[in-house]
Amino acid sequence: MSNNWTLGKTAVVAALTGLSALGTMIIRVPIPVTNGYFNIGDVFVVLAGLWLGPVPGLIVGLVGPTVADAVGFPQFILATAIIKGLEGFVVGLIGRHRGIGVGRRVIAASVGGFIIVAGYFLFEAYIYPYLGSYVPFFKVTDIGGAIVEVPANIAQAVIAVAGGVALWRPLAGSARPDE
Amino acid sequence: MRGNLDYAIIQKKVTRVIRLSFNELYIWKNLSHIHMVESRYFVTYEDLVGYLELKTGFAPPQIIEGKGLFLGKFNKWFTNFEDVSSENVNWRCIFPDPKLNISYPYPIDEITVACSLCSSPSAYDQANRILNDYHLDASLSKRQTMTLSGGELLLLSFAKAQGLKDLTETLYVCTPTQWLHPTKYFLLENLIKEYSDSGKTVSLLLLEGEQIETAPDNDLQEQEQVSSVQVESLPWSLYIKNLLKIFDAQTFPKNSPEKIIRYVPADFDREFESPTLVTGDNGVGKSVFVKMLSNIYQPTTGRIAIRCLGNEGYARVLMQDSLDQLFGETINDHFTRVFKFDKAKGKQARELYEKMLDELRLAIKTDVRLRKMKLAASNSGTIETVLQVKFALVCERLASKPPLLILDEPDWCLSRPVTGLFTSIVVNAAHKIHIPVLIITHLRNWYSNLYKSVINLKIMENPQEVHIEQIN
Amino acid sequence: MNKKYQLHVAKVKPVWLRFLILVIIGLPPITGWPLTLFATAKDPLHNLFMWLSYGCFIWLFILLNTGFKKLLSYLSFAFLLALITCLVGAGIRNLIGFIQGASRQDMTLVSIRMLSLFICMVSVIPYSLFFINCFSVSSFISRLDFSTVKNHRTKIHLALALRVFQHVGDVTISLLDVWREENPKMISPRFSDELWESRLSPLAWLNWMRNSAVTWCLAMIMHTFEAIPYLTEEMKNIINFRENR
Repeated sequence: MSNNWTLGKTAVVAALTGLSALGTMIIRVPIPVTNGYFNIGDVFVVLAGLWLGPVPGLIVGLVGPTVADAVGFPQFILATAIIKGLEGFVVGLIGRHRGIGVGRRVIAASVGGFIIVAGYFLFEAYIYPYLGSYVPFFKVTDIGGAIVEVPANIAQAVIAVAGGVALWRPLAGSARPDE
Repeated sequence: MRGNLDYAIIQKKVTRVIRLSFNELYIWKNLSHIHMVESRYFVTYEDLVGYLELKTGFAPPQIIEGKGLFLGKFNKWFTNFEDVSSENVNWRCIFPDPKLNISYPYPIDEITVACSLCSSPSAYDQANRILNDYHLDASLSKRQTMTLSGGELLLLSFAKAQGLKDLTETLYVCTPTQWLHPTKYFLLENLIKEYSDSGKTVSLLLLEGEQIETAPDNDLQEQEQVSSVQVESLPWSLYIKNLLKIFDAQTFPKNSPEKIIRYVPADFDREFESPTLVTGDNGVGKSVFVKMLSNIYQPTTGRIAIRCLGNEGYARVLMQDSLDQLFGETINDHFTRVFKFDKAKGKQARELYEKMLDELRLAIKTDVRLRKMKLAASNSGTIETVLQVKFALVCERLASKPPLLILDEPDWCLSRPVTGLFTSIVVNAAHKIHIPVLIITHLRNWYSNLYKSVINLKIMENPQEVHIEQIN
Repeated sequence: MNKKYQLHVAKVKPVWLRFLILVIIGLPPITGWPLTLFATAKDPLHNLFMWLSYGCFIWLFILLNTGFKKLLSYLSFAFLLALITCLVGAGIRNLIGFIQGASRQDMTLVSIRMLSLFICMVSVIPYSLFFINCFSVSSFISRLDFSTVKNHRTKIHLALALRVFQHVGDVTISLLDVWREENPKMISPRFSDELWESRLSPLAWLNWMRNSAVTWCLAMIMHTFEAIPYLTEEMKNIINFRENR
């Protein structure tokens, strides 16, 4: 365990991971065309990236929503793990620098939101159909369904960006804990 | 008498009314030969927490401080947190909320890890033994922590504190009697003895009046001038038919048994006078009972209903640990959020709150003990004390005109005189709008000059049957 | 259920063997094999029948392991999700097809696809729930041996993470109780009489949605974070104690 990774960070990362999993599991709005759903779990992934940095963002994004997908939507585990992990990491990477303003953090969160929309589109339109031709387990989406799901994913991304930044402001104020 | 008792500080904190003879009372008298025990009494919860922070150097953020302060303080704690402390901080607290002490999936895990950390050769066996010391049987240790009552969680905290004994020199136990039924006080004595026998210090931090319940000599009780306002009674009736609640067995993360609670008699239709007390041992099912009255839980079979003048629907309940349901920076902010779409009720809640504060101010003027206390009597609405939060949440509930208001352990975090004041003001306000009040408590004597009838819940031969008795 | 026929896959040791057994049983939904060997593109009903047979096998397997009551609870969850997804999904796809002027044959294919998805979901969801229930976090914690100094820091971090994760679940579930108590009408928090009378109610409702989402996310965070300093400081003291000993 790295020396600058404190017990406090472990605890907060675990808490945000749990919140992300529950936020994904409890509030599920089904998208019938693709058999998927959208949720508020991303709010906590964006918050983790903005507040704690790229590695905690990666962990929260990778573990939280994946645990939620394991219950009921196992087909989406692969896509979720990669997309949400990347989202947390990138948000943390862009929003990590000392003394940057709220505007830069909103941009960081928006890039995270873009990753959600683009990532799910790529997976559902191309990667899953390709994998599905070998493994039926992944045969759950096609390009038509992926297009229909784009607006819902945009809504999810907007909720993630707005919620993540709204929660980050009172929590972290003007400084990140390790700054 | 205890060697390190600082009477001067007690007198300063608790005012002249707190008699030193309180320390001679039953539950603590049994410990009087142990010189390692220190006990301190506080009039307010805020004083107690302040003292604890001073002694331990640990000032965790608390939800009742309000959203902004809590989050800021949390971030500050997080920013400054280091794994290795420069000074050897060595403490173990059983805090006012025992839920903060126990969080593993099952109690046995928490105690096992505590024993393991103390390098016990067979942590699991030792954990079982400790649980047994606290009369916590195997079925309880397999239930999920979130299904346990406050009293059961406090006993588990005792067991864990015993498991972690080697790690600390001082044990702080805060407001234990507010969670425990008087018949379980001896288990706290066991814990204290365990620590004292190992040469450790124990500090009991109590709110004024916590020890009075088991006093064998009731003269002291009679002398105690409990601050309260005279209340009138209000009739209401409770109807129960074949009431049964089943909590399903859990399999994740591990098997835990099904829990069945059957309330007897099966056909119960009685009239009560409000304010009514609900009493019963830890884990008997008091919380489940009121959750069914307020529709938080639906009975598995049967029916439970309240009959009262005018108001319809389900009871509203102020749970013991609901202080953190106050959202917003100020009381006004909270009412604005809650009644965003029902401004008439919002206005009513604000008026009720103002009236209650007026009564509170009047009582403070006439009671010498309370004059120095910060009792949220300011008009600014900033959140300062637990009492203020309780008043605000009660007003919110009364504004919805329920058929019954339930106060779950209203004495929690309040000393005896303040509890008396709080409940009598609330009961009067509720009765004026024809809402009867039900009070769940372990401390029946605290309400001796207030309650008009009692519902007692107890388990007889069959552990699945909870007997409902009316005591008038 | 007759105990003579009861299976105890959840108790199989070592853990890797249990994992392997469950993976083998779950091979059809994970890989398609061996059902793909018998699949035929010409007769979709034949494929449906195969998935239905597999579903029955999974249900029987779960029944023998957990009993009737638990199987019913898994099935109720699976049917709820599958019905929402497939009924609404079929409706929307048919609507799109109708707008695009799709042929009757295309519409039938949509229905068959939705039906096969439905059967797949009611087989896979109980399986995934059973899979998760076969591994105990609790027994994992009890196997963490802290009695040796070696690697104890990593173990303490792990124990703390699991503990906080568990705490989040407890907190959120008790918040749901609070939600229920505060919403006697089960519609919106907490009082909403004026909301339904207003002509601008859709906008007000959206505004309420935003406010309540932030409020309840904050409540979840605050409740979760409240215990963290207590839990963490306790672990820190343990580290100090062990390293200074």
